[in-house]
Amino acid sequence: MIVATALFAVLQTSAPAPACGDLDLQVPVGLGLEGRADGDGFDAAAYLGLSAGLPLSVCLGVPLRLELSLATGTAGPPWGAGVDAVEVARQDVDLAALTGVAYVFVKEGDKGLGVEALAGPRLRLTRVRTRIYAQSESRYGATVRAAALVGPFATYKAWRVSLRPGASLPWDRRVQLWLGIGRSL
Amino acid sequence: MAVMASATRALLVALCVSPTGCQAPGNVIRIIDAVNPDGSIALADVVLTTLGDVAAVEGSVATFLGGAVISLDSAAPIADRGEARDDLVENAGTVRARFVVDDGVVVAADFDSLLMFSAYAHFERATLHLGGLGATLPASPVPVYFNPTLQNGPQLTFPKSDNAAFFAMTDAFVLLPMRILQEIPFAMNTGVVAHEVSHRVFYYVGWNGGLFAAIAAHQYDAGAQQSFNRVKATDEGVADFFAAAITADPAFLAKSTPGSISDARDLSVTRVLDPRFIAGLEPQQDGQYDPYGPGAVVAAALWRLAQDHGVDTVEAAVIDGLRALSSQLVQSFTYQFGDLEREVARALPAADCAAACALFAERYLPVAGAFTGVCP
Repeated sequence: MIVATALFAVLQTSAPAPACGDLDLQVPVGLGLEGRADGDGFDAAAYLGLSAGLPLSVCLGVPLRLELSLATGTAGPPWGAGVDAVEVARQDVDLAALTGVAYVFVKEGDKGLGVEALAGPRLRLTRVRTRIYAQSESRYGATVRAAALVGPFATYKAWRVSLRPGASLPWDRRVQLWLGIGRSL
Repeated sequence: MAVMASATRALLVALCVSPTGCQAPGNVIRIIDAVNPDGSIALADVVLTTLGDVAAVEGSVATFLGGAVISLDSAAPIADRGEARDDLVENAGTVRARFVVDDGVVVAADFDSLLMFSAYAHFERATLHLGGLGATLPASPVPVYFNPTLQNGPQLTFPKSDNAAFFAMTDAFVLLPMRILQEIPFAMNTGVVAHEVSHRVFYYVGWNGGLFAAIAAHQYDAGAQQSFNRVKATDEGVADFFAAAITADPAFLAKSTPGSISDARDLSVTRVLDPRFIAGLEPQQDGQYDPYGPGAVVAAALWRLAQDHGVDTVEAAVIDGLRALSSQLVQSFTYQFGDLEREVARALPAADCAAACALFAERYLPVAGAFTGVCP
């Protein structure tokens, strides 16, 4: 619901290129690989997020970018896995505050092409639901890691598209590839 | 409200703001366990005193390994005490359990991690329990191959799934994924894991860690196959007995298997040895000797004895009986039904010996004469 509302608000505006102080709102979708607990390969997962970015290049003339993001996905899996008698389900929600460089190296009128590298703390809130027969319980945990994303981006007037592989340190055996589509507000 | 409180608490702990500081994983682990007097299965928090590395599920009792490829090749070299392990197992690597720490308790964050934590707890419990009874096992942690790939399994009628086994050829345990059975997985069943640990005890105490050397020395002796079959059946019965003793549940297997399998091994059922079993060639299933039928007789007799004379007493007597039997097994490779039970009766307190022999004579009726003159 939140994502739909944000998208609607973004599409309603018809702003040209972003001005100083303009946030851009992105909806990143991602694919990723998460290492299996049994150490035998990786499981695939899909992710969905929402991020708000502040490009400082317009205001300060420096290729810096700040970004806050929220994301979740199918790793876990959130709908549960196991047997009829016992099942474990996991939902992760990631909150990240990233800063870094977003450098435009090609600019032609309203179009631009650049590369960005962002890093910062990522808080992962995890809910684990364990069911045995008809009884279930939920437990919670949180971890903080350093997240890093790097990749190309393209801009056209107020629109922004980015492609970012990402990982965390300490290594949590999860790699992701994000495709973000966004627009300045 | 409780959800928000828990999430907020977790957030504060993660930021090291909580008065208790950031929570590193301790040794209090949430597992699936047989916890109630009636053997019911439930979630339980246990302190694993031997677990050194939570994420790697590694401790002084066992080391969990993933991605292993195990070659079940009948022509492969065989050696005792796991000395042929490197020839039979490839690719085994560290597992990495996923978990959260909530209120100081490690909670598995996926099904495989819950399987591994629960299984380690059951391995620890059984190993420490049997060790306390005098069963001597090697000091180094035993490998547990989790979800391995088995090569040539079908050719050797070894299942690809739904099994837990002590694999003597590698002196290790194998935990296969559950694909068909949908009840409590074997790795989570306290009794099933104890059953498998008991097999390792039989190997090291009964065979003195020299099963394959004994086979090599005596495989062509007259009657060797029949003796070995009878030993296998007794091994299965002893394993079921220890499993039931540790869990206080004679129907421990029913938590994981349908009645068509578990009913035939319920230790509370009175069973008498079928005369057709004496020769060591029957019963058979799919053209191979089936040890579970006669094994159920052994298990039920020991269980009845334990109910009459004390579980701890009979368990200790079984360990002593295995030790006394060892030289016969290793040096002569001969075994008749009742050989272990005579040693168990002798190992009991003197006041219990006659009653034990009377019970065994009833249950092993075709060989009842083996129990006369046993007690002083």
